[in-house]
Amino acid sequence: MKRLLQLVVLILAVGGVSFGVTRWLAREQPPADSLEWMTREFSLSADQRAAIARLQADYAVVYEAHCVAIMAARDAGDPAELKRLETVCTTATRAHLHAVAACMDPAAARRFLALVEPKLAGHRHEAPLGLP
Amino acid sequence: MNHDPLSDRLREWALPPPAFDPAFAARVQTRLHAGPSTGWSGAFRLTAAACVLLGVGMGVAGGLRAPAGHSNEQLAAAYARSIDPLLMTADARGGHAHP
Repeated sequence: MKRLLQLVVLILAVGGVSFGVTRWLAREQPPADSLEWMTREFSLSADQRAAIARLQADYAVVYEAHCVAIMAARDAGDPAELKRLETVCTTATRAHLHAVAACMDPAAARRFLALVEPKLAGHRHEAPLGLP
Repeated sequence: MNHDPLSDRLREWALPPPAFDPAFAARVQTRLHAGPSTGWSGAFRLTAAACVLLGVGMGVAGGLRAPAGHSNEQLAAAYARSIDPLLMTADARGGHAHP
């Protein structure tokens, strides 16, 4: 019985150490930004990466303007403007996403869209801005 | 009169005295007082080695199959939030910080 216990403790100890060492050796550094994630996950070439970086830089201006407009409309308590912005933002976001996907290889683009598109606010059947 | 040579031989036959080892009793006492062996026997060592291999195998397999810290789902959700003003402003409304 004592020997059996020794063997069980041995297996648990060795298994635990092996598990920890394997996890430590197999750890991945999280990507620094979305572009690095896309490059790694969707095997972007240097040209594809550069094209997506340009798209993201251009879209950042649009994105910021939309955020400011939504916050202003919300502060003003203007539901009609919020409703209009919801449509505008959903369209612009989706267009940007598809433009990014168009820079990728077809299979990667399909996987990219299948992964990201369901997570956009406009994809859900709910009012993202809290409108009725 | 018949003379049986076997009877003569049997009469002459005598067992040799056993070899006497004066240290025999002392050795027996020493072993008796030492008690059972506490070391790992050969069979137990073999079993222990098999257990080490089993533990390493299970640990490595578990380490490789355990989910990574940053899944694609999490990264995709973060990316969606970074391009969708509706999500970002909803986060801001809920008290989340702007990244």
